[in-house]
Amino acid sequence: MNNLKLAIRGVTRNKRRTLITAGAIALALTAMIVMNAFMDGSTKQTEDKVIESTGHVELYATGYYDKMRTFPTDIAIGDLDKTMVEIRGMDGVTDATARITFGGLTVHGNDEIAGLFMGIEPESADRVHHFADQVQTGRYLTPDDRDACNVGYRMAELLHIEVGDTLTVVTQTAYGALTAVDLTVVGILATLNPMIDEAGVLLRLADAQRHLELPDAATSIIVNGEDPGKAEKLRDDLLATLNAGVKPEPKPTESVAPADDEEVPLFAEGAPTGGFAVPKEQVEAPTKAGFEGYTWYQLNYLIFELLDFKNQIMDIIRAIMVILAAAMIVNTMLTNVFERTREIGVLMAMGAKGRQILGIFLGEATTLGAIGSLAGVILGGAFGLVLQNVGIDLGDQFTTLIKIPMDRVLYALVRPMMLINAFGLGLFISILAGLYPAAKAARMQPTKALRYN
Amino acid sequence: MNSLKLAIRGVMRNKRRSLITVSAIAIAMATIVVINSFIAGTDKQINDKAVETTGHLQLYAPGYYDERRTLPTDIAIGHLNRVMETLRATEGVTDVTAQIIFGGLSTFGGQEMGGYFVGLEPEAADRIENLAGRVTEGRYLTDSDADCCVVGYHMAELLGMKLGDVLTVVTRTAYGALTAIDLTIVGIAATMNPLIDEGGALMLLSDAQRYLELPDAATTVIVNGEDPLQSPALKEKVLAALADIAPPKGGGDAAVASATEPAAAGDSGEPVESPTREGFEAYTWQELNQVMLDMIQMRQKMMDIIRAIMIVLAMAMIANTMLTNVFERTREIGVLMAMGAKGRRILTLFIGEAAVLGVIGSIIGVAFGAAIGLFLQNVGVTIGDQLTSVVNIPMDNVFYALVTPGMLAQAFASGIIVSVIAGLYPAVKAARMQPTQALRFL
Repeated sequence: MNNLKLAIRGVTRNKRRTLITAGAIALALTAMIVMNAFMDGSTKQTEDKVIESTGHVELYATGYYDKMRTFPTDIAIGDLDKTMVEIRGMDGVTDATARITFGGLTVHGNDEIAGLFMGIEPESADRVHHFADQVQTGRYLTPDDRDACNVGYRMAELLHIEVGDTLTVVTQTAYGALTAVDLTVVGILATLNPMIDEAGVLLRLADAQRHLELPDAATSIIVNGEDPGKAEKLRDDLLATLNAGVKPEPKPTESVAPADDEEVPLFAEGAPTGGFAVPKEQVEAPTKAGFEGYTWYQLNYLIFELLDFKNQIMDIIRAIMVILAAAMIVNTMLTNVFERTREIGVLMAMGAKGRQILGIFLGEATTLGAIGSLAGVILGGAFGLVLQNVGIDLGDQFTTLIKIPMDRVLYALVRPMMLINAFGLGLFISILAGLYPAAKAARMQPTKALRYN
Repeated sequence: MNSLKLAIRGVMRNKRRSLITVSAIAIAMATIVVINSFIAGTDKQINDKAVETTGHLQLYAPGYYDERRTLPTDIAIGHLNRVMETLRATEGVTDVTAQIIFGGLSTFGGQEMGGYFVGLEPEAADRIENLAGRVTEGRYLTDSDADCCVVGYHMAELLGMKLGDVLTVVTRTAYGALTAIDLTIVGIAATMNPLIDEGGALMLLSDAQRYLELPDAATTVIVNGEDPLQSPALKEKVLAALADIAPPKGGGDAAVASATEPAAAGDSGEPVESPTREGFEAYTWQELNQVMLDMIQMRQKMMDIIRAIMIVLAMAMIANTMLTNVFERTREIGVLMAMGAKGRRILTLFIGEAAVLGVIGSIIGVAFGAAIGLFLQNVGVTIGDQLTSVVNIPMDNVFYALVTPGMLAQAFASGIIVSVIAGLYPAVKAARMQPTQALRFL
């Protein structure tokens, strides 16, 4: 009680010095909070966007993941209808949607670009990815839209595609035969997922199954649960259930169903043909028994690694600011102790114990820290809130440089915990920095201190 | 002279306080030097890489630039040999190479990927883009490598390609007909250009011309000059030199075009328009990489803010220390004034003290910063191999700092200037004291 009063009196004694010191602490904390708010905001935004574009868990046929970037259609999940019923019936599953992802060439007029094609179930895909809200012109796919498609807006711009135009898709069937498919564009999407915006074509799963010769099959199943944070458990549950049911006996899903990759059956060139080039050795069934599952975090770990890297750099900068603020406090407190040497002598002569002196000066450092931290938290919080509402516009072009689903406007995110942490840190550092000057004061010899000029 | 001695004595009087102040300045300056050297290094790396991938200047047929992301082959430069001769004879041009860039599908062993294909002149392209040094397996293309290719290492890994395998490229000719090209893989390259590494193949220009029906034509001509920074001037010169080749759009150009062009319609029976166009447009590497350069600038702005905060913190430190010094020596100031010292003398005394603090702090800070910077310049910071695949910018996965003497001198000077500015207020306060009051101060 008494200590606090003394500490406040000490702080107000040289107002200018206190102001500068507290100001420095406040500045350091403000900078830290704004930086934190930005990092958190952009991380949260990326996370949300990533979850929206990936779903919580993706299931593939065994072996798909390693080849994923080539969009293989010959490592597919068979028995799709039965599997979907089983998944939808499971505990903790809120939604599931099947998809065939494949690569190929999109041709429109004289232009062509390499494309990413997704055969989706329009209704359930919308529940997971919110595609319908992302339609820029035209409309979203419906389950009755035979041979229709939605395309990404950047690609539409590039290829001069308008709603009502027809695209030709050149690709390979699951058996490796080249094929061309004509699709009518019914809508243009702006999803913020660069893969889709720049080269994506969405069509119905049923059309993809037909054209790629994958009846009752899909390349991936996307499953959502209640909480994206519990995706790992969801994945493990799904795999346990599905692999227990499926793996033992290879299902006779297709007419051609060799048990293992090793056996080369009689079909020398038995695959269905079309187009003009028939790649060799493609006779096994494109569907594979067994499942593998990946959470949204696993599927996007590169993005999170990149964010971590950015965080590390920011940590270093934060640490340096904290050190500078701490140096400021040490200096100010040392000066205070030095200036009041005689007073300390008087106090000690009057019977004050070393511990009391220590308390007084530590209290003073704490008061300085509290004032500075409070000011810093208020300023930083205010700044952060402004940036949370206004955001920083990166410009439309920036997102083309980075293959991360990302908004062009970045918003900060101020969490109460962040402010409390910053305040606590400011206080803690102040006390820590005040320790040495306070200990110095407490160890003085009363006789020497009294005689000090 | 005398002032300097007094300033040093003032600094030495409270060694501990000076030490803390000096180290705060040193930390701030060292941080700034490290940040600066890192930014300078990465900028230089990114710029160099951009110049290497795009050359100093790219020439297209008019209209190509707007459509370039679809890799059109029907907006091509005709009369290629004449164009190349003219360019080689143009003053200031050190190197020229022609390319046909086209999109399509790479199909291999039942798998396919969207691809980015470059038909190039092996030797000239290597001089500009330093491609031969990027081959990690097998060898680079030679002029006699008809129907051969070098593929990007990511794609090779993904599709399981080996040297000697045959890659089938499905694409369209300049006239729109679908075609498939078989190319034998002679090399695998890590070019650091994501387009090539992840789905690209390099082949001979003559093969591309043959398969895409573009004889004596190319989609892109890359021109290098002496200095990449002079590329805007080079652009003017090159366009002026080419003005003779491109007939003005004035009278009956269609007739002239088809008459002077042996290459064009050739054997395609239909009445299609020729894929080559008269005239040229040119873009410097800065224009071609505008978005990237913008991003670099944005990053610099962010760093400016951090630098500014560091400087303000260092300034607060100095102001505080100097205020304390002035306050402590109030009686001395009174004595000096009573002995006839003018206000200006007192002012220089304390500014000198602040400057001495700044000089010591800056020397230590710059030395430290330079040491860390030089370390990072030699060792570099590795970001995972995979991370570069998230970003669509040609870049290395090891970042090196770059320490330049100018940068150090600048940091040193700014440290001193900032110290003097921060010391100004306390010094003015000291100079304005009334001798009588100062003498009576306890």
